[in-house]
Amino acid sequence: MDTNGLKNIEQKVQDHIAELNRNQLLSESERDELFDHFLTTISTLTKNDLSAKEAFEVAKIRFGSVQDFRKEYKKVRPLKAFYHHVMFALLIYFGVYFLCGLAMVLGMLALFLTTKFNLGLELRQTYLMLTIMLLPLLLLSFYGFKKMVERKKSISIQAIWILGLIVFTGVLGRRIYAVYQFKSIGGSMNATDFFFQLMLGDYNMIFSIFSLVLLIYVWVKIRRDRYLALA
Amino acid sequence: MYVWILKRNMKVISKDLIAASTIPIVLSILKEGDDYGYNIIKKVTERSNGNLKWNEGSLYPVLLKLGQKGCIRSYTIKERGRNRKYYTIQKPGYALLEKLKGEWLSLNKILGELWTPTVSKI
Repeated sequence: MDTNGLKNIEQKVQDHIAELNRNQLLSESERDELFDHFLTTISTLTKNDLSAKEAFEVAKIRFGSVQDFRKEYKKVRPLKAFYHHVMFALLIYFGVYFLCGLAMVLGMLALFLTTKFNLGLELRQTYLMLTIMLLPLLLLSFYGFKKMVERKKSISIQAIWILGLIVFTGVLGRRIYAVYQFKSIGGSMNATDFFFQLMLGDYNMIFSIFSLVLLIYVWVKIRRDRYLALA
Repeated sequence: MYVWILKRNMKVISKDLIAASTIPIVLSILKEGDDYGYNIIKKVTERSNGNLKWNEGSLYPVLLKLGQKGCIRSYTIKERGRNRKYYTIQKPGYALLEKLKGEWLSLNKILGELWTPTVSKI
C-alpha cells in the first residue's frame, strides 16, 4: 500500500472508531487498541489480494455492528454511559438557551440598526428587512456547525464546554447589570447579597456550574486513565 | 460478493452459545501465554477450524469486563509504530477458568449421556 493509500485507510479507520465511540465510553488506550486491531486485519486481508478499500469493508463486517458494540460497552461501563446521558441533556438545555439568547440578541441588533439607519423606509419595514438580512448569517453559522460535527464526530464534550461557558458568562453579565441597576435606583439591600441571591435563584447558572464540575471531573479521570495506561 | 459470502458464513454456532463460551475461551487462550485482541480471535478461529467465528468487536467488552474483575491485566507494547495492548491472566482469572471448566464439563457429560443411545432391556 502506498503512503497516500495508507494515510487514507488510517483516516477511515479513525472515523469508524469515532463512530464506535460516539457515546464516548472508550479510553485512549482502548481506541489505540481498536486502531491496531483494524490495521492488522486490513494488512492481513490485503495480503490475500483484496484492495485496501475492500479489506476495510470486510474488517468492518467482521468487527460486527456499531450498535451492538456500543450496547456492550454501556453494559460494562454503566456509570460512564449515565454521565454521557446527563451531558447530552445539558447540551440540549444549553443549546436551546443559547439559541433563544441568540435570537434575542439578533432582534436587539436589528432594532438598533433600524433606529440608527432606517434606510429611508418606515421603521417596521426596515426592521423586517434587517431581520431577513440576518437570516443568511444564521443559516451560514448553522451550516458551519453541521460541517464541524460531520468532521469531528465526538463534538458533544467540546460543544458543552463552549455553550456552558457562554451561558455562564451571559447569566453573569446579566446579573452584574441587574446589580448595577439595583444600585443606581438606590436599593436598600447589600449589593453583594443581592448578587448572590440572584445567582442562586438562576437555574441556568446552577446548570452551568454543574456541567463545569462534571467536565473537570471527566478531564481529571481521562488524565488518570492515560497515566495508568502508560504506567 | 466476497462480503456476502463472509456474512453468510459467520453464523456457524448459535449466538447465545458463542456468548456463553467467550469468557472460558479467552481465559484458556491467555493461560497459554500473553496475547492481544486480534491474535486471540485468530487463535479461536484456527483452533475451531473456522466453526467458531466471533463478531470481533464482541471480544473487547469481554476483555474489559475481565479486567474490571481483576481476572486479567493489560500492558502496552509499541510495535511497528502502533500501541499494541497485551493481556495477561491473573490469579482470579485462573480460579474463574477452573470454575467455568467444571461447569462446562459437567454440562457436556449430562448432554453426552442424554444423547447416547441406550440399549433397551427386554
